[in-house]
Amino acid sequence: MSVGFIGAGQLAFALARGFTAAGILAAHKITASSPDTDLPTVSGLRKMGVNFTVSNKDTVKSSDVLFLAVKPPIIPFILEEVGPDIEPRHIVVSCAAGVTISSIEKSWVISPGFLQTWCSVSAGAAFGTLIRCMTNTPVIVREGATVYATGTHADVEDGKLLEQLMASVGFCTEVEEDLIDAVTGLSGSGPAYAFTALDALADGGVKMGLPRRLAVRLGAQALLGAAKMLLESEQHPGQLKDNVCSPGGATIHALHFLESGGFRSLLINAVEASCIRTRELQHVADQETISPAAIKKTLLDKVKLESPSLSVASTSKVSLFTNKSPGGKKN
Amino acid sequence: MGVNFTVSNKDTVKSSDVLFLAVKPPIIPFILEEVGPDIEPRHIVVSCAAGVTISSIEKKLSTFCPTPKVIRCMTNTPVIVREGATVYATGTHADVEDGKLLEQLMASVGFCTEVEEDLIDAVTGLSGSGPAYAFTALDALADGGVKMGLPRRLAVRLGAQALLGAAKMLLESEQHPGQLKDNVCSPGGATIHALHFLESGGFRSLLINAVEASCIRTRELQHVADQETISPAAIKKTLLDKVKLESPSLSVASTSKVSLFTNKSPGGKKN
Repeated sequence: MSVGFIGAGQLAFALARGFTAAGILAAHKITASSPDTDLPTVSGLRKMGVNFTVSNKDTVKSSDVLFLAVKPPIIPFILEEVGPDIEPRHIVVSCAAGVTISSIEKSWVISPGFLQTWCSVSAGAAFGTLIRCMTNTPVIVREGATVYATGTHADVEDGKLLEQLMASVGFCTEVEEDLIDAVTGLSGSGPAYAFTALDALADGGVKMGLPRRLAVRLGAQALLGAAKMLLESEQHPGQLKDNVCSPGGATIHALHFLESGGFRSLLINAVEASCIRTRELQHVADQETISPAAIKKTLLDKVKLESPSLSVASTSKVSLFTNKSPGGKKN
Repeated sequence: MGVNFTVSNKDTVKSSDVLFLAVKPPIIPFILEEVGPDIEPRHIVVSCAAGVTISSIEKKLSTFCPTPKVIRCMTNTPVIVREGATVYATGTHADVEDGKLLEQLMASVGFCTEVEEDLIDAVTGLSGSGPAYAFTALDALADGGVKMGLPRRLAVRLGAQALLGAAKMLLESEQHPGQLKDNVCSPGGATIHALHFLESGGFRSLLINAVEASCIRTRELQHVADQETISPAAIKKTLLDKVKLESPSLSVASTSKVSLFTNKSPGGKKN
């Protein structure tokens, strides 16, 4: 089985590193592509032995499982570019936060440019298999958290194949698509909450006299151990917390400070904010308009320069996910 | 588990080479009184009691044994899943090999390193109490997931997995946690929106407060013990009445303050 990544950024790098470390895939069976060869992750991928190319089409051709590992606003452009090369054998996995299965499938179905390809294929196998997935960066150390939802034409086996891949780099389970934005807020963004907490815990240790390296090490080890205890326990986190708090002891004194400051509420706010923002971005994309400024931010100028088949209106809003006949593209 | 259980502390001492004192800090002096006579030069006595200093233990044991090997240790509950965080400091008569033996033991259940004793209270505040901060955070993260529509079990699972994975990334990376945080925050994306809420609420400060509070409380408890007085009320709370009833060699004044960590000749015990 060969795996391809459209996009060679943090996510592609983390997944490639995780898969190779897990031994489930050899590096030479992985291809990654990006028009931007200056990304720091590109050299990392090369060092791993992953095949790197600037041609997204090459990635599609050499892959069975194709991960779309680009930022959400780029997804429609990628689909336009490589759509014709996607065959029924492909399992396309979108990792883009907030991008719905229906928006991707809609773009496959209705573009006349694609119909020429689809028409030559039997109706029952007309479309590539699509799976939507939300994972997180700790796949890089094989402790990721992944959920996926299968698209209209995906078989049970396609889902199980993806699950096998993602389970090699952490926890993986299937969910209904409507839960994925909430998962984004919790485990998608979760590592950032943890890194912030770990920085602060280390500061606390240093304030009380510990050398920085030791403080970082002890804080991370304490969080890791506690999380593992919870995962392996049937007990409620509140019960586990009680078990660590001896009467009048140091820990319950510390906990009072957390509660006084609304510690729990801040974390609920964070999960909520990330989930809501994900839904906002999805809504913006579904409205099928995106401003040129947003596109510039996501290096689309570079894509435009290097892919003559794509063109983007620079002075007016661009329509995404709509029909474009080859002669009808704006310029 | 197959562990030999006994109600006799003396039996435990006799059948052990490495002896962990795994009782709450106020009980330590009573234990030392009770089993002190049975401690031999071969024993390595490891105190896991928060805030109890090596010197206080050595002072107590030296009435029974001229060169007691004492090691002070601070660990945490995740040793149960072999991901503990442990530090230790060796006492006056403990050799390098004794320290290494303990380190070997504790390294089998997580991270273990030797430190100077004056750092141990800070370690208590950070990794000793740390799991409680994590369990609180995990409860809240699950609440957040449930608020946004996830079933509880899945929310607990994903939250714990996200924290575990992030902690492991940091342990295996040379990068600063701030850099790792940057890497997860795409421009205008969901994560940086979430982070703003954490910062607005002083999230980092709460955690610094917690580490500090736990450390300070640990030092307070040590100071109370060093003052060598403890009220009967405190003793009652720690089930010492039961100890008193079952160990006739120990007696505790019930109406006046008790002296700890002082020499008592067998005939001179209060009653």
